[in-house]
Amino acid sequence: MNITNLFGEYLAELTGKRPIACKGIIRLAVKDAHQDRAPENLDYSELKDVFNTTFKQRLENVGIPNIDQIVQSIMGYLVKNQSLLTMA
Amino acid sequence: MAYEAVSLFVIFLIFRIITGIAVFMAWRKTKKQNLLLLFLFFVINSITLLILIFENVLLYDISTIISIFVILVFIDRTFYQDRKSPLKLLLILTLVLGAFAIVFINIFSSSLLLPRIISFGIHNWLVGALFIMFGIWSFMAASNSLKSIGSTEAVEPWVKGRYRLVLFYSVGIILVGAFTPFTPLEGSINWALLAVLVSNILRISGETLAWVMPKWLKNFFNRGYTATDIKEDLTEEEIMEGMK
Repeated sequence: MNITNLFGEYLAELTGKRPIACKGIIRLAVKDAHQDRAPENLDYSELKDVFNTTFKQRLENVGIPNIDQIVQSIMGYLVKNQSLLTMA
Repeated sequence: MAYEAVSLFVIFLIFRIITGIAVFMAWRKTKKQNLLLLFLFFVINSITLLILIFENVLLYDISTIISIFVILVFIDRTFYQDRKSPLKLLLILTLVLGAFAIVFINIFSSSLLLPRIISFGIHNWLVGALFIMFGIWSFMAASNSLKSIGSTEAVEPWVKGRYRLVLFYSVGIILVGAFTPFTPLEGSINWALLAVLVSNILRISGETLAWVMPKWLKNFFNRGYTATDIKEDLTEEEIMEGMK
């Protein structure tokens, strides 16, 4: 299962942007923080760290409004679905 | 121990080792720490089975308590990070119930204070309660997560299938715990012992299928499913432009 797919779809719901771009920005944010690792291989703490840092930075770079709220929502989604990082 | 029982435990042991190896390979690939805990659980569980073959109840109890400790931490690290978790309470309960189980098996072995049948019965109630507690938490954790992802198309059906297998083997664990108090003294066989055996067969099959997840089973769960995976043909500029 593709983690970028799951969180990208959710980000698309939150922002109203195209899912393909949302999946892409998550993939880029993961790459910014962990160049040599696939998003699927990140654990909960690492992904949480990505959302709080490089992902947030990427959103700021494109000027998305309500960034803190988006990051908070996606973090909530991660907490709720954290078991997928092990089960998938 | 009867030859048939030893053969069965050896079969269980083989399944445990296969599952442990599969989890270890997954850990080697991803380095996710909770998978290491799960691997450790299967290793300790294999040791527990070996101890059972040699009929040392005291060591069996200690090994069972350690394995339950490890699996409770695994459930917490997998499902409950940054969430309200009953982990501490369950660890304390495991320690208390386990300590009493060890006390009663010692009373049983020395035939002091209580008749052997009573101390053995109390011991079995305590061990049964440990399994029920662990099984219920495992069931609740998987059930709540499955409800949360149930309608998400981005999650492949085989992943949802794995959650259902966790639910299935959690019921097996609860049943093992529920029948354990009615098992007879060593050397005899009754309905409860057979029920524990069947429950264990269901539990171990479920755990093996869930964590090994053979290709054919994955394909079976995924039949009719069209993946909507990310297409990596957008450049960084196109992605950033798409987000504006």
